[in-house]
Amino acid sequence: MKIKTNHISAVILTGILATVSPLVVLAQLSPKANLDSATACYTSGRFADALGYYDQVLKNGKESYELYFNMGNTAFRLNELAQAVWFYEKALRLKPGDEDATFNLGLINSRITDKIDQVPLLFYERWWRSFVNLFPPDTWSMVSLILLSLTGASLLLFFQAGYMWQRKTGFWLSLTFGVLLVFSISFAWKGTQRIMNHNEAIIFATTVTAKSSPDASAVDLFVLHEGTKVGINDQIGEWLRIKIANGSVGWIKEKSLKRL
Amino acid sequence: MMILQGIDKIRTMGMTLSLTFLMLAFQVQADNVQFIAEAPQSVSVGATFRVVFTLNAKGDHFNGPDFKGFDVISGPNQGSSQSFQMINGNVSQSVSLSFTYLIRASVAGTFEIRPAKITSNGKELHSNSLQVTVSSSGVPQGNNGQQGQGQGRQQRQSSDNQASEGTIDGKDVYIRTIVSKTNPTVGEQITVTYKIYTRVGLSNLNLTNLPNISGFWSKDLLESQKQLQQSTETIDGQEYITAEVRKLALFPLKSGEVTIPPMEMTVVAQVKSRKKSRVRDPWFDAFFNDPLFNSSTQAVEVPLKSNAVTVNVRDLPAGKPADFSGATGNYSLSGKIDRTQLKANEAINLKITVSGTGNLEMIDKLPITFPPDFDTYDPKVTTNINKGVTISGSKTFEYLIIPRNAGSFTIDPVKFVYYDLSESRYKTLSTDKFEIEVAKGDGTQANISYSGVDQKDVQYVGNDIRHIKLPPFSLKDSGIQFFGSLNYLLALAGIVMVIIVVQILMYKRRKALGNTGLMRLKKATGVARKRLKKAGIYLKSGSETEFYNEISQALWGYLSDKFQIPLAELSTESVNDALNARKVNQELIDAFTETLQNCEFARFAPGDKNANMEQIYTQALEVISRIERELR
Repeated sequence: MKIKTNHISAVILTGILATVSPLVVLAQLSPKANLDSATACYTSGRFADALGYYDQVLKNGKESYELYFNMGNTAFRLNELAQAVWFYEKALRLKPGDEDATFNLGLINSRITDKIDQVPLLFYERWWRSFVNLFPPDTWSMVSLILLSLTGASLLLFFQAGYMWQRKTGFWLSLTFGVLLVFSISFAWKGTQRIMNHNEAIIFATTVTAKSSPDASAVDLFVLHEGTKVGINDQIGEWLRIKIANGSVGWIKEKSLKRL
Repeated sequence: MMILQGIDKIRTMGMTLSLTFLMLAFQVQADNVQFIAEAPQSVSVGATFRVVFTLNAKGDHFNGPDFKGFDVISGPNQGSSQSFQMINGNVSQSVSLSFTYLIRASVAGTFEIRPAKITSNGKELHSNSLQVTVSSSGVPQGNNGQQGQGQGRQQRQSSDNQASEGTIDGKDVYIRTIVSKTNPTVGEQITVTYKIYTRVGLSNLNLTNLPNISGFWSKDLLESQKQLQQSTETIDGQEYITAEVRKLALFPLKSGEVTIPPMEMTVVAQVKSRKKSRVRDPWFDAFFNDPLFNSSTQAVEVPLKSNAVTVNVRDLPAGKPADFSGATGNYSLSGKIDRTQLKANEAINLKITVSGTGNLEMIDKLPITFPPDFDTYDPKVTTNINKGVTISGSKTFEYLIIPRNAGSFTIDPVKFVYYDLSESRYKTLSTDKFEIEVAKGDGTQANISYSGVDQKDVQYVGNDIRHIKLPPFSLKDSGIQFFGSLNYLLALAGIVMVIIVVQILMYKRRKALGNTGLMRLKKATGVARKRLKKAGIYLKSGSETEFYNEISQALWGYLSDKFQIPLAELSTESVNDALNARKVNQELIDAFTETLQNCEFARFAPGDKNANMEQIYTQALEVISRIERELR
């Protein structure tokens, strides 16, 4: 099903871009070559070159979970911890809950300066999050389409069946599928929001002091270091209102972090 | 006094010619009583110098000036000398009385030293006054290194005589900081020598400020030396006695500009002061002014300060290998293992020796990994350093390792990465690898167990990130999400459309089939109900014929519609069969047929017509609703 829609979108895309096709063909050829070169460089220990090749793919407007994962590895090998965290977080957005990316991110998070205790989540928040993280948002979207079809079929049974038991079954099935449909759409929406909203970021500055208000002369609240993940609530000019995992809130300048 | 009295006697007696001649000479002396003050014309701030008041006769009641602008260190120190000379019958005699002050210039400027007073032969004499220019901390203090020398030379020429008249200036004694190289690389040895140069005799060398050199790892090269080694050097034609006061081997720890601070010390200089003979005879002067004969020495404490030297340390070139040891220089590496075949729980001794020249002590450990099953201990480190012109030596790491299990093990080659100064590149040395054959232990060790397999938790010896994902993998256009995209919305709308279309199609198809049984089946109850309702109206109005007509039509019509039997074929028997086929209760079938029959007979039956109609009506209603329920 997923492959099929990808095909459809590819067909549509090719149709739209048919006029600039020579360029498109070139651009489509190079990512694969770039990936092969990058893999060769990484394996032979030339990490800076590997990162360059991967970056080329990214610049061509392509992305994937594996690409970000590999870039995270390369950045880690170059000892660019903040970069590495950023890439792994990016990878986890495209494929939430992936074991390898979670493992590597955990390893790197144990090497960055800041150790922040996570505020424990309530049980329904945990459930909700684990459901959202169960599949990538694209997969949840596909699931929602399937559930919509099933709900439709059940409604047909309910309206058109000759016998009472068939209609009863149709009723309950359509109700169940309908509820599941609403959930799957919510999960897909949530996952997509996380990718599109860029309201989380990784600190890239070596050290940055969070202020009590968006003003350089404001009171210093806490100091963050390279590689720490923060949430962004608000923005005033170049100042961002950030929230760290333990719930502390402060203002820092936009240039000291990189949005996910 | 005695002499002067004697002269008077001689004068009054009127002696011989020769005596008269002598007397004449004395006459000249006596007329020429001088009280002279002497001091250098210019000194620098902090310099110690002498002011001498000399009277070439006897005198008393000396009253010195107040030396405004100077600090009096000592004085007046009274000294007197007499000399009696007779050469070829030519006799000369001189008496001199001197008062010496040792003073120090504390502020810059031009100062006047007021005349001193003394009483000689009943007359009060005044010395001359002196102008002394004190220059602000200039050269003559001893702090003239390489740059200061030219200036110092000029200063010297302008006051050439003064050294012998009681001051010490920068040309007589000074210390210099000599650095072997001013642009070393990080970890490269430079030698810093603090050297003292002197033309005067020195004693009591006293270090007042040992420079605290930061940014370097330093090694004292003169540590073992008890006495200063003296040598002679000729600088600008002047012979100096030199000695290395302090000599350090420095290894820069970080790049950038680092200043090697000056060293400060005080020495006691033996200053020669020359007495001037009053006899104006060039031949005498040449002889008696020789310092060998006609001088006295005076001890002056002189503070000395060497020059500060700035060293620009270059960083090591880029491309530092990950396991770089921090050592710079020129090294060799050797590894020795005492045995390679042994039993479990016996000890092996592995010796790794790094030897060569450079900052050996910077090497704190070697990157060595032992097989995880080995018990290892921190190495015993022995450092052996030779202090020559360059620091060299060897450092030995002695590892004690004990294999706990039998098997063949390999200790990977030990690598040592350093920066080779002569070749200007990073070099990696490595030992051979060590193959160790461990046989089973003989069981004398307590911790060997034969009771079963020695189980252990999996040992984690390191952690690292997981490997990259290998291509091919699918790439998609970034920033485009399926959810909420046009495709998704189209798919959503498509599915909804399909459902609605199918719904409509099915409905239409059913409607098309509706003229036959299916529709009639659906309508059967409805028609029957309508007819019964009509019958109810007739019942109330008492119109008997219409009532029975409606009831029988309701019953027969219901059956016809419900069981799809054409009206023409309807009979009690066919109804019976149809109901039996649907497995309707026999009692109900009987009730139905009875109602049908009753309906026929009741029209003609005697009795209360209304009561009959009432009964038939309730029977019909009951039967139809019962069949409906039964068939459901």
